[in-house]
Amino acid sequence: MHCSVKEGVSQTLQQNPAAGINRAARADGADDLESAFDLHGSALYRYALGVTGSREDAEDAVQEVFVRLARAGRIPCAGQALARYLFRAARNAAISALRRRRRDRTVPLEDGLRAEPPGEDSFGGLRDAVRGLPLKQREVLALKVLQQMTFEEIGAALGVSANTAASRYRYAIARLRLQLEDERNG
Amino acid sequence: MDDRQIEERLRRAFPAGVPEGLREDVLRAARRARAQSARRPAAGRLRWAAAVAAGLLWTAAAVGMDSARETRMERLVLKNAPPGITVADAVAQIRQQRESYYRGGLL
Repeated sequence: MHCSVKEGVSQTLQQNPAAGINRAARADGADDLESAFDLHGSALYRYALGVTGSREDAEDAVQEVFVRLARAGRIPCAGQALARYLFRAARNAAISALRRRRRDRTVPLEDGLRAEPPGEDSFGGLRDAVRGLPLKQREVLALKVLQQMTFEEIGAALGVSANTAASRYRYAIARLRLQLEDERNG
Repeated sequence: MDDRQIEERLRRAFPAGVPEGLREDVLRAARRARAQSARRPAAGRLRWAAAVAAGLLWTAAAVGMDSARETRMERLVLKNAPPGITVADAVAQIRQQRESYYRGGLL
């Protein structure tokens, strides 16, 4: 395992770059996995949720990231390098989850209900619209809106130019706007 | 509806925070994986990587494999490494093996 991934990951994922969490234990007794989860778990889950559009897939992706991290025996890097590694791992896990879902094509009834509890909030339509976007647009949208990354950072993280990232974002927003206006007009 | 309003709705549709119980589930699974991985001795993992790399390099030499195919073989070794072995360790072992074969004139 190594941490030499592309630059440009969100500040949100780098909440505490100076934190030396590559240690066996913290003063409060939490281990390194716990520290890593507390620092990055929420941002990783939100990103995975934005990409997969499914609570179950996002949970699986986050779990896969931390299981892989644990198998390394020790956390291989700290601070920003760890944040970049975790983001890259979450991206791979989220994309794998999407591929699995496409291959399986079926969603157990219980999972479907858990993914979208009826009446939980008024954003079900918007989440459906996000799920309907192409993966490349959804990914940029998640990084820009949920992780508040700049287009330069997104481009660097995804291996595309900032202009390409901005273009994908504009297409995504335009499609969502249409969807929201349709909803508003009944 | 402008971009900012759409972004704000998206943030509310995908709220921050993790579902209840996820932290505990993830940490439990990760600790179990770490414990299973730790039971395999590190020296054994390295010997495994070295043995596979050596075998692949012998095969590569026997069939006159080009460098691109060797690189693919290396990736295969890394992909199939047992849980717990780090890429850095495996790469170091493979490179060491490769250099020793080159020095010995076997490749």
